Parts: sequence; structure tokens; C-alpha cells
Amino acid sequence: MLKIVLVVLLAFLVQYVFKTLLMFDIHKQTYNHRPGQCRKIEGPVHGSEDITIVDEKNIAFITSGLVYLNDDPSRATWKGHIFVYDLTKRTYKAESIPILNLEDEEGFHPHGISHWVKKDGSIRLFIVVHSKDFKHSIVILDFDESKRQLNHVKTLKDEKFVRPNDIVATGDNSFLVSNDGGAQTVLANAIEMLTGFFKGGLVYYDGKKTQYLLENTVANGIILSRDRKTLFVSHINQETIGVFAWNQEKVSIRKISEIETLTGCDNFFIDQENNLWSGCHPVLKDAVGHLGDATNPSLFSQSQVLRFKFSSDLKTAEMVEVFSDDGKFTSASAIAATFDNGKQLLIGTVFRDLTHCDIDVPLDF
Amino acid sequence: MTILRIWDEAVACCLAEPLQKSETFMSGLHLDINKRSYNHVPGECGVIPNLPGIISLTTSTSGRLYMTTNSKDGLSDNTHVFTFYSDNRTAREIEIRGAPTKWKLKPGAISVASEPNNPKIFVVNRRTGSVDIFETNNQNDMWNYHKSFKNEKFEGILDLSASSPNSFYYIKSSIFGDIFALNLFERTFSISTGEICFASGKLSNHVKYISSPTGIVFDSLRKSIFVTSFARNSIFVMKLEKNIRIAFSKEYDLGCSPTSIWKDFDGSFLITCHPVRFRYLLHAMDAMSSSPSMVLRVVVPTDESKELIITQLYSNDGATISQANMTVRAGRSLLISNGNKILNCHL
Repeated sequence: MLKIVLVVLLAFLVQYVFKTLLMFDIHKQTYNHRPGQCRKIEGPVHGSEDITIVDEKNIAFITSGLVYLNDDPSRATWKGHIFVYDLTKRTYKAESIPILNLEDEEGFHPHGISHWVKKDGSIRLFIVVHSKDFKHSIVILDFDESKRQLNHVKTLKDEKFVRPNDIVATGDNSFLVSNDGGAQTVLANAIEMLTGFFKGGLVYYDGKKTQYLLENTVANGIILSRDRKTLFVSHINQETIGVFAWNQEKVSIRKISEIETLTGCDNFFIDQENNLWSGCHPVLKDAVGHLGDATNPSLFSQSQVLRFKFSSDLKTAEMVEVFSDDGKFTSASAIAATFDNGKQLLIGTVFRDLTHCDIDVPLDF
Repeated sequence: MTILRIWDEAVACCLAEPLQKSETFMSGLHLDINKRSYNHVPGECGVIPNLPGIISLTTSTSGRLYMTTNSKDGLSDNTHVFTFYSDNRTAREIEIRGAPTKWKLKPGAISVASEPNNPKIFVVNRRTGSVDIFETNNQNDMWNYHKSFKNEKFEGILDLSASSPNSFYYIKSSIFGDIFALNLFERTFSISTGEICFASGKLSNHVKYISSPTGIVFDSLRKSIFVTSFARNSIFVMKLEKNIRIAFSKEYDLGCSPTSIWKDFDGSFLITCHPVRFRYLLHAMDAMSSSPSMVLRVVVPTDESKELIITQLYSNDGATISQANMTVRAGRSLLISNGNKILNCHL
């Protein structure tokens, strides 16, 4: 009897170790290739974690200076920034623009970002913000184009913003926000990852109150399709992308499919042809090592840019790898955004620089 | 003295056992369950019409590409030798003159000895089991028959690489012969049942056993032999020593299962790989209709302490080309082939 128990325990242990090794992508390798000439953009040095492109103005807003699962607030010696990049000129320089009337200037470490074009044509930004001690809020800013500055509108804190990651604006004062987990410390996050009991999810804020749409999962990058009817959710730890039908009037989602990517896709971008783009982490063990000690230059992580072309029923997707790097050029890609009719590409990283690439290879074949 | 012997045995036991366990345990990871193929092309790609897949290929120092292809109709087991013109992406069949009356060529593996003016071309004749030598001036589509090397050990040559006008290195994949299941077994696990041999004339000498070799390149400049191993996901570098002996030098990990190797004129290698091994196995057992393809450009540094420089040139999930096993650069064309089609990509 005892022998049987030991054998069962051993079998469970072996399969658990095997599954964990697969999750951490032991034995996986990336191969370098670029879609064309790539150059670094001057400006962001402590991350370019999320990008939102305003087609109407031909500018990109880039968040920089992320603080994430920070057990030691004194270690975060960098400042948070919002950079603006002019997409019509090849200056390869992004400009950090001032933010007026922030409540907590020292505690502004932006993460996910989304924009909304108001009826008067001005741009409103919705930003996921963490403080140095990893407290969370959603900051709403209005872009003053003539003065090149951001004016603070509102800061929202809510118990449902458990560990917010990305955000999608759905109106002047409404948005969807993703929680990528429930743990607030490095140790608790490790336990959450290793046990598989994820506490993340999806939250909708309608301008007055918040409500859960998804719970007990991992939601990293989120974005809506151009017609605002389809929601894409990155389940990064499960290496899948969830596709949902989104009904804003009823505030409801319905699951359509789940695309298995076998790579950790981070933030999303929808291009002019409604293709989904993502910056991914193909090897989790190196991503964990790099993101755990982001200021260590000898630790780097692989980067991958994928473009997904979905079938009309949204149940399958054709994947094209547009960019791939072992981490020495671009480390831990988090977002990829195209512009200029798909001829140019911006690649943002979690804790490092920003890359501007030309796309000289065909993506449809 | 007795204690020392016991200690030695204990150390040997304890060191050997973890390695064996690790190998067995990691075989699940070697099936590439957590990997997939993502599509990537270097430029516009199209299938070359009316030309079946490549079996083997070689390029002379003047840049002339020769390739052995499957039958034109895709049904019979006849094979042909073509030369390829990259400027207009066409191929012409080689005419052979001066051969004995009853001689007939069913070409397999092919290699050219690197003499600039009068290259000798070595072709494995699948009909006779010999290695036939031809001469050409590289100016036209005609070869002159020179002679044949006959040896029973030449049966089943998978790939060969000429080292002089009269000698070549070759690899054989398996001691299991044609048994399908055992060949799959050999390709999945690291069993050193493959063989590297050296032949001078009709004499053949065994050089080294290796795990599932798939391609061989003799590099006269570096005095080295490069052999790809399917099961070990690696490329072996072996240095030439006196006589025919070669010394193991270095094993580099490619991260995928290589199926062919071709040396470019700048010294880099183009290698076709199976990126996801379990899909290769499922396809080989007819459980899946296609298998992913990948082409890598690999620079092996002369300094062995440095890492490989690997660039991916092509990747496909199997929909366009399945299980590519041969690649070559001809001008600004990248040719990628499986058994029944040749894909031509602009670089």
C-alpha cells in the first residue's frame, strides 16, 4: 500500500516537473531575422512597454519606465515617461512630453496605454500606472497638441484593478482593463505561476463602476478589432490568445476561440487591415530571468514579433514571424505596431529600448 | 588500494547514472512538444514549374549548380541530373557522353571536386551501387564519363563530399538498412548507428560512428569536415589529421533537426531543419499531411570558443512546402526543396 502511494506520488512529481520544464521553454531556441533595416530610437532607455498609434495624427504614444512586481521600491531609480514619436519623419528620436497636474509624479510608472479620439478631435489617453511600491491606478490624460503636453484629467483606483497590465479605451470615460495575475510580490507571483491558480482577469469600467468580465485567468495584452466587436486577450502564461465577441451595449463577452501560439504573446496592436500584431517572449525561462533583474545588461531575453491573420470565422489564425532576435539586439519585445501602410514597424520592449524597422519582406504568401 | 578502487567505481557509477537518466528524461523534450513553426519568407517565393524535388546538389567553384532530381512525371523511380541557371530560373538536363555501352545512371548523392578548370563530379549511381566520376568544363550542359568506383560499402550512401579528384568522404544513415520503424527510432534518439567513411578510388575506410548523419561537407580551406546530425540537433566539426583520420573537434547545437547542409562561397552553411520533431514523426507515419520546414544560415566560427551565428532565412508551417530537405543559394535565389517540388525565393 505504501509502495503504491509512493509510486503514484513519484508519477505525479515526474509529470509535474516535465510540465514545468515545458512551460519554461527549456530546449527552445530562436533564430535571428529582421524584416528590413532596423534602428534604435533615441529616447526610451528604461522600457517601451506599450505603444498606441493615433492614425489621425500620425503619432505614436509610448510608455516608458515600467515598475513591475517591485519588492524593493528603492531599486526603481528611473522615472516614468510618455514619449511621442512622429511617424511621418524618420528622426529616430522620441520626445518625452510633460504631464501636468499629476497627483503622484514620483509614483508614475506607466504600463499599458490606449487612446480615444473625442468628438472634438482631441486625443485622450488611458494609462495603467504603478507606483514604486507597486500600487495600481488608471490615469486619464488629455493631449494638448498645440502645447505638446498631457493634462491630467482623472486618476482611478479600484479594488478590481488587482494587477492591471493593459487597457483598451471604449469611450470618453470607459475602458476595458486586464489583470495579468493576482500576486503583488515576486514570491507570490512565482507560486501563482507554478501552481497554475491564476487570479487575473478582465474588468470593464463604464465611467461610474467596475465589473468583472473574466476571472481566475491570465490576461495580459488586450485590444479590440477596428470595428470594436471582437476582443483579443493574451493568456500569456498559457501561451494562447483568447478571441471574444464584445458587446458594449450589453457589456458582455462571448468566447469564440482560443489560438495556441506556443509563445508568450504580450501586448497587441491592430493594423489598418485588421491583422493582429504582438510582441512575444518565445523562451519563458530567459524572459523570467531578464524581467526579474531588468537593469542587469548581461541578462537578456528573446524577442519575437508575430502577425496574425484571422479566418473570417475567427477560429484559426495564420501566423507570420516578422522579427526574431535572440535578445542581443532587442530584449523582451512586448509590443509591435505597424504604420505607413504596413511598411514600417515599431517594436517596444518591457525594460529596454525602442526599435524602428522597415518591412521589406512579403507578409502574405 | 581497495578503498581507492571502491571510490573510483562509486564515482563512475554516480556520474554515469545521472547523465543516462537525464538523457532518457529529456527525450520527451526532444520531441519538441512545446515548439511550433511560424511563417517567414526572405522575399517573394514561387514554385519552379515542371521541375520535381531535389535529391542532392553541389556547386562548382565557378558557381555552376548541379542537382539530382526525382523523376519528371513524379511516378517512376528514375532520377535525373540538371544544371540550374539562376538568371532565368530554368534547369537543363545534363547529357552524358563516353559511357560504356551497357552503363546507365540513376543518380543519387552528388559532389564536385574543387578543381577550377576541370572539375570532377562524383555521383552515386543508385542502379549499380557505385560512385561514378564525370568530367566537365562547366561551359555547357554536357558531362564526359570518366570512371566508376565500385565497392559494396557504397550501397546506401546518403551524402558525399569530394576531397580530391580521386577521393571523397561519405555518410551512411543507418546500420538498420531499410527497416522503416528502426530508422525512425534512430532519428528520434541519439544512437550512434550512422557512419562517416573515407573512400579513395574503390577502397573505403570507416572513419567514425555518429548519430543519424544527414549531410556532409568537406572544407578544404579549413581542413575540416562538417556533418549534421538529425537526432542530436547539431552540427559536428571534425579536423583532418594525417592520412584519412579525422579528430572530433566540436559539436554545436542548432536547436532543430538538420536534414541537409550546403556550403556557400563565403564559408557559411545553408541548412534545412525540421523545427518540430514530433510533427516530422507524425508526418512520416502518415498521421499528418504536412510537416514544417526551415532554412538556416549558419556561420561556424574558426574560434571554437565562440558561438554559432544563426540566421533564419525561411520558415513555413508546412502549407507551402512540407518537410524541406535540401537548400542552395543560386545567385539571388534561394532554392528550397522537398521530394516533389522546388521553391524559389528571392533574397
